[in-house]
Amino acid sequence: MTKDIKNLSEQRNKSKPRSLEDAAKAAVRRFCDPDILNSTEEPEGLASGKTTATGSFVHADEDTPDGKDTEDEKNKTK
Amino acid sequence: MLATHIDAEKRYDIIRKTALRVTENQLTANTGLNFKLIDQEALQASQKWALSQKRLVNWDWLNGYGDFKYRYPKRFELALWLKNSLASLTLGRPTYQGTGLRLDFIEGNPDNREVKVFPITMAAMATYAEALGATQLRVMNPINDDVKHYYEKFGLTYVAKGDYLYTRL
Repeated sequence: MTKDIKNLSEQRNKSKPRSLEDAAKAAVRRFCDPDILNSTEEPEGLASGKTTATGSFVHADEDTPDGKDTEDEKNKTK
Repeated sequence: MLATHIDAEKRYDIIRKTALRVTENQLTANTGLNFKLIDQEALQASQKWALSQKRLVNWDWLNGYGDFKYRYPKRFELALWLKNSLASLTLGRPTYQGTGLRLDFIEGNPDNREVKVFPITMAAMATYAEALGATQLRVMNPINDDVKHYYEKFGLTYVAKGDYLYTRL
């Protein structure tokens, strides 16, 4: 009998959680790859985010079961 | 503030600091980079950005951070320093179901672009996400197409409904 492993990453996480040091090492390798860094220019005035009309950083409407996050969870599989 | 809130703040503060420290340690030595939590010094430094002609947003980090901190004890935060200059500020939080970690706000120093702040921030976020057991990173509300396309170069996928990019860990 063979076991069908559909997601190796999930399987690895279930079997043995890696140390935070190993997680950081993998994260730096993934996002700070010199090849990508050297071939891209960061846009001027880099920013992401959206404040409310009153300038608040807190979006209370997104923090409920009926809010954006829950909708987004559905979107990710589309 | 409730005792449970204070307790959560303390617990996650330790995880945040550890995630930043181990990520910083993985970068090549002598980069001049310093990963810190957002403190008064960083908030004061960010106020100088308001004078920049190159700044594209008018966010008030001083007040915004206070609200965000109070609301989200599990938040991700990073003040990235390059030598003595504040390179960027970042705030994020887990998604409602806790399966992902959102980057809600990031702003790079508009006048000092010596270092690429986004990939470094993503590495720190990924480490913190793993500590929380989250399996997805999201970057909310890129401010323009240039920024959005830049994020896509790091393997993030844009979702128009919701205006965010995501990647699996």
